[in-house]
Amino acid sequence: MIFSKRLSADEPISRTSLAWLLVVQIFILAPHFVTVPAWIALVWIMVAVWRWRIFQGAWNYPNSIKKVVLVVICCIGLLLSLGATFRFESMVSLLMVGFILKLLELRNKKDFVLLIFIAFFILAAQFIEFNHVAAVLYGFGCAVLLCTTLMQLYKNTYRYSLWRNLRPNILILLQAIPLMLLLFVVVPRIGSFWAVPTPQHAKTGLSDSMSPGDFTELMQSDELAFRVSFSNAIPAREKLYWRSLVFSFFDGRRWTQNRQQKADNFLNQGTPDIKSHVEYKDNRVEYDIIAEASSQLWLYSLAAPQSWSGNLAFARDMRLQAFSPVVERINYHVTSVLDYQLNETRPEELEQNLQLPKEGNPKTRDYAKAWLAETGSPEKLIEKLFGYYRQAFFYTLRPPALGVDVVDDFLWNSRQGFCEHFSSSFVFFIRAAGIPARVVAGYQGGDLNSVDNSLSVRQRDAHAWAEVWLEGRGWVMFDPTAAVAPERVQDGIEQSLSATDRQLLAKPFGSSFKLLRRINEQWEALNLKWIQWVLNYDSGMQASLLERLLGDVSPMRVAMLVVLTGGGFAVSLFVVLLLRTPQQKLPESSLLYLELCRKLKPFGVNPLISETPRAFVRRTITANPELADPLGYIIDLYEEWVYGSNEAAKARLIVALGKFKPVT
Amino acid sequence: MLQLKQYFQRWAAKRAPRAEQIVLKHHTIYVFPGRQGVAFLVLILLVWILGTNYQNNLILGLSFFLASLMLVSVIHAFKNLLGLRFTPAASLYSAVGEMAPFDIDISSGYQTDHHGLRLELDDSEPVCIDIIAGKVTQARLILHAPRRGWLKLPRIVLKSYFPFGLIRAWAYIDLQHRTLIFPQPIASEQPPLGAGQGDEGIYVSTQRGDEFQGFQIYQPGSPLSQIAWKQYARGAGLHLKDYRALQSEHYWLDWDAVNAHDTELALSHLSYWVNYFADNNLEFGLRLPGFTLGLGMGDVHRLNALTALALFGWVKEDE
Repeated sequence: MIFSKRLSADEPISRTSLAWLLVVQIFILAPHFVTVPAWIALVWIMVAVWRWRIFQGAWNYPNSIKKVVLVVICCIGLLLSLGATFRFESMVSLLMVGFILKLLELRNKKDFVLLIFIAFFILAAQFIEFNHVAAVLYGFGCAVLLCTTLMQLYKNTYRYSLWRNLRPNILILLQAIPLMLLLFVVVPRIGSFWAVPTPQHAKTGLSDSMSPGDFTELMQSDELAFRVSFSNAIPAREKLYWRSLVFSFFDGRRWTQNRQQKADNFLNQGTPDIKSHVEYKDNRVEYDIIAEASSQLWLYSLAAPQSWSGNLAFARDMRLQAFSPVVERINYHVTSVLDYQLNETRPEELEQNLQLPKEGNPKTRDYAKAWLAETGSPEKLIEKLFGYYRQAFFYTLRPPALGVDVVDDFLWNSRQGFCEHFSSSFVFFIRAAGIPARVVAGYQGGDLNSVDNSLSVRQRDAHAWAEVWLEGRGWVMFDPTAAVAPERVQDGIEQSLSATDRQLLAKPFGSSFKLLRRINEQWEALNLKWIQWVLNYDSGMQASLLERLLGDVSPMRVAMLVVLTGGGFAVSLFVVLLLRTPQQKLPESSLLYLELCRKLKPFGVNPLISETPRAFVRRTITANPELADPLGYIIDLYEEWVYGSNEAAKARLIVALGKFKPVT
Repeated sequence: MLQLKQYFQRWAAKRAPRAEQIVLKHHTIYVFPGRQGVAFLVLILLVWILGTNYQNNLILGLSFFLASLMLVSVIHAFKNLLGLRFTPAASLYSAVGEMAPFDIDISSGYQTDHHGLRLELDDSEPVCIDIIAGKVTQARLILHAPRRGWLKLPRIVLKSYFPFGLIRAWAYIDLQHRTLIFPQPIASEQPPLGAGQGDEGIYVSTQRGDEFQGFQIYQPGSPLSQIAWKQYARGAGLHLKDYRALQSEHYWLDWDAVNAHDTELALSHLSYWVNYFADNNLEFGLRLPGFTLGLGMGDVHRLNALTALALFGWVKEDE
């Protein structure tokens, strides 16, 4: 019975299959060594050697005691190197150790197939860590190898070259791509079933405080913070102040958010008056931001955000942030109005932005009061202070160490520093004069990609500036750094630094060669498209894409799309595969014989399989004696050509066959 | 369920009738997910759950990829059987109680390789072969031979799990092919010898013998050593040199002399002695009711004798 027989359990594994499996394991396991402890590689080598020796007949399969010992050793190893908490790393490590140890239980084809299936799962898990285009290409290569390995079981001929093994698999896998794309587009996306541990990485980026040295570290990192693509023209570079955090509390050394700010973060979401203190005027820009994972809440926007995607919250100090830490790359859409007035509806907030430590920096406090008395108005005071910055200060990433009174030492002594020093001292000075002020942290500028006109903002673009409360004008932005080094905001940080300082700065790969920079830009543009269209394809995008394709997203129409495109593809693949496979060609002699048979068909004679041409002709002549002459001639020529290798006979045969037109 | 299977079997048998040569076409090939195909569906589901939980589009993409790979492999499983041509090779023979071989020539109508083909028969080992494009591969199926006479090749189930073991493609091959099964040789104490024994020897013509007795007309297929080359060189045409030898001993195996009541046992005894005389290069003849095989020697003679025994009382089939 055909239903009862199957791949029998004890079919042994060929040498070729085993070799393929061992090689493919290396490719499947390799990417995971970013997360899992390195000693697992040693376990693999040991187990692989062991399994090969078993194949050679030199060693035995481990007995159950040895197996238990191995498993216990590996578990203890995992506990020691990863700890007892259930994390992403421990999950992957467990899976890998199981995958590796299963090799020692690989006895028959069933085990082999199971191992390949586990390998596919491990291949899937690598995409949690790696999700760039290159990772997908690597994954495709791994899938080709896995399929080739699997195919070894279903072939009896093993002596094929590497390419002859790989080629059919590559073709089959390529043929699977169109259907996959269709499924990718139409299969509905649903939310997670349960919470899963995600990989944890130390991220560089703005932190929830600003203390001396923080920004130096950031500026040495070339890591991407976020990408922006504008729907309309990109505003001038000096307007690109990406606002992330507002610091209102100063403890003499560190700037942080005050308690009120932290509490306010999520207040009144969804109420219409949430942004009632912002007056929007002119100069509207729309843009999409793809923010890299930062493990923090805050996000990036140009002041003043007017409307934003639903996954964001608005904080009263006019910032956008996420509802939960950004552990994965997210994208959002924002409309900002660049000319705005930020009012203050809470008097206590102004009070809080006058806060200073009780003691310290006496010289600055004295000067602040003296200068205010001298100038008479906040605007003029700021102008005087900016004048002072412009005259006497030097912009450098390597400032000398500052004393206990940080602000005093910077303003009246060292006078060397960068954005964090300037903004911090500026806000301190203004507050000391009795005017509300606060530090704003975020990013300034970004690298323009000329390929797709997107903007990449990196950690080295981190910046800090200030906001001052001016009666009648609301919170007004001031950037003291720009006063000292205007090129910092106009041309970017790299242009604003001295040659020695520049060495400190992280540089994108190949930035000094035009061609490499061009390639780099192309690559970045590709990555952006990849993230926008593949990695971030979600139910929202799905709905809008289907709507654009179908006009109306009804289950009926989606089903029609699937059936028509999927079925159409399957049918055309089938037809192409069959048509493109050349039929086995018959030898010329058989073709001529078949032609003769066709001509004799009206006489009711058909050749038998066991019949030679002459026997067939003899039988035909017996039944139709009138054909004796032409047929006898033809069959003589035929035999002379086929058996006597007489090429002249062939030519005469063709002529004779052409002339042979018997009538019943 | 069982009824459904029976119904399917009958339906399939009607679509693939017994034939002298079988070329697999689209309507005689069946495809269905195998056991591993079901396991693969579980794998696809697991990968999909992983992707959904991590909200990871690449993992979801992989699960979709595996699903469409399975669909595409349906086509390839089908194509792996399509165009295969099965022709019976020469009929072979065997004896009751031995294994009966059936040789089948398999070739492809397309210029592609066909992999991992399994020819299965009830209660016999499956035969696994690959067919390489442009080559004829011979597969030998072995069947238990239960009784003498013609043994018909039962319907073969051709199966393949190519390319990835996910999809089973199969077809029924009902080939007109047979093997002759001789009676099982069983020894008896005395050879069943009939009348005409012990004649004082007669002269027979042989290829090589003691006494030259003249020339014969050339027969195609005669050994070259027997050709009278001298006469040929003189232009006398092809002649054969004929020798004669005194045949001192010859035996007549006779049905009437068999000491057995059972027909089959009688045939078995006769078989034994046919083999015995043939092995010992003795001249013998065979007399059966309604059939006589003249005196002779050699393997062809043995074959003729055994065939006569195998088909004794055999009603010719309608083939």
